[in-house]
Amino acid sequence: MTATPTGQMYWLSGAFISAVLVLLVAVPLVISYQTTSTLIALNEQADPADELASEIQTALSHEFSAIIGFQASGEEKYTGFYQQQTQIITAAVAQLDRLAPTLGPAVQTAVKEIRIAVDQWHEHVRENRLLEAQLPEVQFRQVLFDNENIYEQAQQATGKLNEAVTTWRSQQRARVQNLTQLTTTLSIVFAFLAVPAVILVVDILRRLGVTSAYLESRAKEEEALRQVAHSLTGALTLDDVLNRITETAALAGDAEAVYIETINLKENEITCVASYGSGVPPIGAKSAYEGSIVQQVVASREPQIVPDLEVHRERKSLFGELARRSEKCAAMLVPLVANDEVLGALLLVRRHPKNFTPAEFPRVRILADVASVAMQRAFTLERLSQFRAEEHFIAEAAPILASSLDYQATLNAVVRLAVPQIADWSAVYLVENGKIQLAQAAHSDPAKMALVRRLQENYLPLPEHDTAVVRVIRTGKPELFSEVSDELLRQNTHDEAHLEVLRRLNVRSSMVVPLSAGGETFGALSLVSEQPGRYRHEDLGFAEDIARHAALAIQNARLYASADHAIRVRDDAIRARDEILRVVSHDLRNPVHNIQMTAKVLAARSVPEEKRRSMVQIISRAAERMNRLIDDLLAVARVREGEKISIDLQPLNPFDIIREACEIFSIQARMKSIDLHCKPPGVVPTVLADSHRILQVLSNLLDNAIKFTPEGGRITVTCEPYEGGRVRFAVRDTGRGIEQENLGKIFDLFWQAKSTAHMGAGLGLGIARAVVEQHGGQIWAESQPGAGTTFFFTLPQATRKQEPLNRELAS
Amino acid sequence: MKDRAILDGIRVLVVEDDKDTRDLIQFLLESHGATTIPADNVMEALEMLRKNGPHLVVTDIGMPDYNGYAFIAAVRKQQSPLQKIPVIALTAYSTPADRDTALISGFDEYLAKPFEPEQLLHTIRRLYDEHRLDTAA
Repeated sequence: MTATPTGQMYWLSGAFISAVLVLLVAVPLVISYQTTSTLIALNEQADPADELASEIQTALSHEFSAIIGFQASGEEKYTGFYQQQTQIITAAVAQLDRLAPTLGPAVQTAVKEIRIAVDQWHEHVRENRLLEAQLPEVQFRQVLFDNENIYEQAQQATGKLNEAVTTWRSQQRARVQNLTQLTTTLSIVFAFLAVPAVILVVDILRRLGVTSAYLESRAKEEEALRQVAHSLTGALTLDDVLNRITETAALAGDAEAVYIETINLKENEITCVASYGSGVPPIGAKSAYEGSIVQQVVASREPQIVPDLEVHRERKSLFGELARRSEKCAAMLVPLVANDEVLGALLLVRRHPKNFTPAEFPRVRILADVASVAMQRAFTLERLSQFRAEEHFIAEAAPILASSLDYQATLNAVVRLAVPQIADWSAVYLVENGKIQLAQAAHSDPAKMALVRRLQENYLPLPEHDTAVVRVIRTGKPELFSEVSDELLRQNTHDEAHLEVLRRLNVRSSMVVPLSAGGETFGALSLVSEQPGRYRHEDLGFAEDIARHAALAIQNARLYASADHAIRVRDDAIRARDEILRVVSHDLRNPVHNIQMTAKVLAARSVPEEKRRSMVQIISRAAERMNRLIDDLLAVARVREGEKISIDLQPLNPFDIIREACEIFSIQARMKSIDLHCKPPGVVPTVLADSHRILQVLSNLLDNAIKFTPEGGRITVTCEPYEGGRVRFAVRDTGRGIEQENLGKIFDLFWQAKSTAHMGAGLGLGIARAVVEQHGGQIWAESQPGAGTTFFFTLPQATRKQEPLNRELAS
Repeated sequence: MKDRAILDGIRVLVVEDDKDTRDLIQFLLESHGATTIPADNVMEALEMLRKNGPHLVVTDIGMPDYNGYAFIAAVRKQQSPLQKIPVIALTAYSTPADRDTALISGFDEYLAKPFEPEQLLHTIRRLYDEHRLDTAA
């Protein structure tokens, strides 16, 4: 402000007015003070000085009289009186001494003279001892007259003082008179000075009025801008902000058309993001940033006026396009910069003869500033809301992914969480056995899930195809397809039908990110949006973040699943082992008990001979049973260890084996009144088998059959030629049968141990299967519940002599 | 002949699928004065229980079709006084857990094989006496 001429004027006027005011007030004050002090001096100093002078004069004459009185009468009273008067004089002179300095030099000199004269007089009186002894008349007269001069001098000195005081008094009066005159003179002068001062004040007031009017208009302008800013503040979405900016700019800038271009430095392009009026480029139109007029404007950070667009017709840019579309137009480009971040430019177009002037820059610049801030905020908000959604996603997804150890549940969580916030549909591709599988997918629209399933079933990415998923899995690098064109879809499809599916899925923007853990890419996560341009470069980071979480979760679930499986298998094995031990110990205890009890009974008392014999047989049978059990136990141990049961293969007549088995079990069957029938075959080929082991198989089957066949039932054992050059053995009972769902499980060693332990079924069937399979045969059961069960097993024929007799050796 | 008197007049139902074991138990009990009724499976045992009115039952647990647990469950669902009949489990399953299972299931006593013959005789006598006191009261 101080630098401007107007400011200096104010300063000078102010100084002048101040000076006048000071003089008007101060000078009369000074004068009145001077007058007052003079009058005080007159009253308080000059008058007492006059009085003191007369007092001294009077006292001097009294002294003179006292001297005459003493000499005449010699009375002591005159001496006292004289001394009294001397004291009065001394006091008066002292008082005059104090007053003198304020009364001027003449008075001071006079006072000094008084003191000298009075002292001389008093000295003279003392020398001549005029008050001590009466002098002879003549002598007295002589002394008196001699000293008359001295007395006179003293008297004259006081007279002089009176004169001096009078002179000073008159001097002071004259001075007061002068001051009064000065006041009058000054008043007249000031009256003349006051006129321009008043004029100045009035002028200043007028100027102040003008200034405040200016300030008011500025305030109004700012208010208008604030309202623009406010309306922009109200607009939170970027589109909204951009539209309001263009509208406001068109109105405030008195422009026919307005548009905004934003800059993407990474892609080196400018994009028309908002427009108003005619002739402007369409929204979404792009051109190169390098070398554009916008670049110049942004670099200078200053608005630029293009008086005639005609000049730029040949530019191959958005601006050139504007120039071609708008004839006889002028343009102004204003940079949009917020907090040093270059956002783009605001372009205003006016039709000739209207044009732009640099005087409009400040106003336009303010508009641009407000617009830039609003745009930046909208950008930030848009990012922020996206970020929040992402943040939210991660916050939601992480615990779900972390908590889920179930493989399928994990995959489901991965695809489901990305939908619908991040993607319209999402899919997890995993490499399984060298093939890429679409392991899990989710679509925001359930109706379109069927299409995704068609992809899953018919169009899995093949490693030999160069599709995005295959590339990502191979390279471990993410791929972004911000805008998915039909051409791009075609590149990623197998055939027309596949392309049709993708078209119907409306794939418009997509990201494919690798699922990697421990440096190995084992799959890919694809995120697909139906909104073109939905995914940008900066979204990849986020997608990779999801993928990292997902990959870890999938890997964990995989590990857990395999560990869980291993643990389950191990636990099952331990349980099975315990059950087997339990079953075997139980089965062993029964014959042991029989032997023990028989021994005790036989030892305790005399037993009839017939009874005694049957008891010996009990012992013998128990021992046999124990022997069988020990065989079983050894076989089970081998099977469980994964070893083969040793078999000694010999050519055998199948009927010999079944006959032997029937003989062994005949007594047991008879005791239970079961008809055990061993049916001789017609012609049956020789089999290659270990007779001891096959007998073990038949024993286990028969033991079972007898156990499960009620008294009076029937068991038939047969053998016959069977398809594939084999011989089939069969043990048929009339027991209660086996449930269909258990038929497949009864030969499972572990299942049997667990489920039939209390039935006393033992391990027989499991061992039977192991033995039969070791022979290269098969074992199975058929059953009609309530109508009995038939167990079958096959053994290979021994057709040729040269066939190896012992498989164990051969292998 | 002091031993003989121990089970004098007691009718015992012996449920056991293994004929040798059943014969042995029958012989043991009979030689000490008891009368025995044999049954080789649970269904037959339940029939004998109703038909022959034994004082007491000795049963195996591991049997085909229906096992000893099925039998005791069926007995405890019978009409009184059959329901309260003393039942002794004889089994080769001899872990403490097996014992607990047996007693919880409703057996009055549990004897793990191999047991001393006297153990079975005294248990039968004791349960018979207790039961008689209970029913008399």
